[in-house]
Parts: sequence; structure tokens; C-alpha cells
Amino acid sequence: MNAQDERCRDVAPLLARALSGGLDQLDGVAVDRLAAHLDGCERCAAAMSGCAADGVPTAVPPIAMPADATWERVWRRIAQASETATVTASGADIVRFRRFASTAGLALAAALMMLIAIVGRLDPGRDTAELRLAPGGAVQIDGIEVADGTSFVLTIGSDDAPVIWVIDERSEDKP
Amino acid sequence: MNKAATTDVQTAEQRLVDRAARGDRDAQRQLFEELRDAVYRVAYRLTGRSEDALDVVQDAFIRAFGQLSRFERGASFRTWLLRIATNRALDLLRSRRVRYAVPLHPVDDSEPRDTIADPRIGGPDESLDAAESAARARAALEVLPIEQRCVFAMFAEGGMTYGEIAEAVGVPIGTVMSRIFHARRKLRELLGDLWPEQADEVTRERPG
Repeated sequence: MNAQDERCRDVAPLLARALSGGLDQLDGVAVDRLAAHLDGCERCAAAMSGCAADGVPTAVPPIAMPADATWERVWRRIAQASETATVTASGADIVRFRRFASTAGLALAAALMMLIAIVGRLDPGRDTAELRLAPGGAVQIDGIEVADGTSFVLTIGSDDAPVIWVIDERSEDKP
Repeated sequence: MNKAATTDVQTAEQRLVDRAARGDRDAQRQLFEELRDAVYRVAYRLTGRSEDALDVVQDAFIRAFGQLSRFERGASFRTWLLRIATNRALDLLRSRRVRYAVPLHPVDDSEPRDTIADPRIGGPDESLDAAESAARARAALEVLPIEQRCVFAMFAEGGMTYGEIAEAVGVPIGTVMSRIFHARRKLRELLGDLWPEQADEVTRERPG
């Protein structure tokens, strides 16, 4: 017999009392000892796991239950709230889709603009490009001008709209 | 209930939960009708007020139905729902700023009856004595540490087993047993006069 088995054997009378509904006949010290053992012994805890309050006096008076009409009112509010939640969830899906479309569109736009910038550098004579991207109507850029050496940065505004910052390096040189 | 019967009940509950998760209103209503009493009783024992308990029931079902897609298949919906309700009731208790003063001990007959501070306890048809007993029970429950009150409510009113309570509250079974034992002992000390035979039992257990 190992140490764990010995500990189980020590509390066996207490466990048997608890399992037969006689927990109340134990004193607080014995209950705390049994509790400490159960917290560390899965086997004994499993034996206690199914215990319920069937027939155990609780020393508190029964609760008056709400009338049927009250339950009906509560149910109507639950059903109404669940309905609203479903609609809201659908709305959230649409917002998520728009964000996805916007993000995908922005990525595509950024890639194209980088390409234009590269082409612009390769061909100094070409400094203007017309661009119109509207995947799902989420992103639309009417036009962008790229002059030699002009840099730009693409960011997303607080309303999820794309913002293009053109860095005018020539103006910085002016007095 | 034997193991096979328990499994049948769980399977039936799972089928109902599956339908409810797909938005089947009839299934949701059936779950509500089957479990509302247990949720109300637990919530009432925790909050001590009918209006608050009804709010907790409503909130718990709305949250549960809203999160059914996240409900772990094979787990007990009842245990999950009661855990949601208990957390909601505890939130309510924490946010409640005004507590109603009620006497812990029997009200002296010479005392005017209208000194019971919370006249809303019990329905209008309830006798004053029953209302007084209910008020005392509520006050006695408020004396218990909140962790004892939780497991006591789940045990006594939710019909939950030690194992289910342990799962819902997130503590080991021994701790559940200990909390229930000490909660019941305290309640019997405070409310023993309502059940004379239990008061005698408490006296026998007292040391010295």
C-alpha cells in the first residue's frame, strides 16, 4: 500500500459518512480534513463528485416563484433581445466584409502605386498616371500624379478611408 | 438516476442546444422553460431580490443564446447557464450601491410590523410571517462570504452536484464540500428557530 492509499484509508470513514448524507454529523475540523484530502486526491474526489442536495435540509424557506405572466414577459424580452442580436451580428458581418474589401483594395492600390512610382522613375518623361480601383466599390482612387522622385505614403484614416500623403520634397528646399 | 438515463437526458439536452444554436426559437423557449426555475432560485439566493433575480435570468439566457456557437459540445448546458447566471448575479451585487437592512433575528412582536425595511420581499399574497422569514433568510445569506453563498445557492437551489459546482466555480470538489458545509452550519445557527428540530441538531454539534 502506498502513501496515497494510506491517506485514502485514513479519511475513508469520513468519506463514507459524507457519501451517505451524514456530512452534518461531522465537526468542522473533520470536514476540513476530508476537504483537504479531496482537493488532492482525484479518486476520492470522483466518488464525491455526484453528490447533490436531494433531500438535504437547507434551513432556508422555499422561494416564491414568479407567476406565469411574469415568465411570459421575461421570455418576450429574451426573444426580442436574441432577435436584435441576430440583426446586429448580420450588420457586423457586413462591416467586417467592408473592412476586408477595403484592406484588400488598399493593398492592391499600394502595389499598383509602387509599380507606377517605379515606372515613373524609369521613364522620366512620364509623370502622370490615372488610376481607378474600385473592388466592390470599397476603394476608389480617381487619380494620382507622380513626378520625378516624388514620394508618397498611404495610410488608413480613422473612418477606414485611405489617405495618400504626397511628400513635396521640392517645396522644402524653397526659402 | 442511473448512468444510461443520465446519458439520455444529456443527449436530449444536446439535441435541444444544437437546435437552439441554429436559431430555432421553439428549442430556445423549451430550454428557457426547463431551466428558468433553477436559474431564478440560484439568482434569488445570491441577490435576495425578486426583481434582480428576474434580471439575472433574462440576462443569463440572452448571453447564453448569444454565445451558443461557443458552447463546448458535450458539456452540460445547465451547468454553463448557471455559471453565467452566477457571474451575472455577482456583477449585480458588486454594482449594487444600496443594500436593504433587514433583521437577522426574529422581529419582536411588540415591534411595529412596518419596521421591516424591504416590504417588497414576497408577493402581495404572502403572509407577513412568511415575508419576515424570507427577509431573515436573505439577511442570513448576506452574512455568508460570497464564495460560500455561491456554492450554497448552486447546491441548494440549482440542484447541482459537487462535481458540477466545482466545474462551474473553478475550485476543487473538497473546497466545494467544505464551503457548503460551513454555509449550511452558519445558516442553521442563524435560522434554526424556523425549524426547531434542526436547531437542536446544531446545539448538539457545538463544541463545549
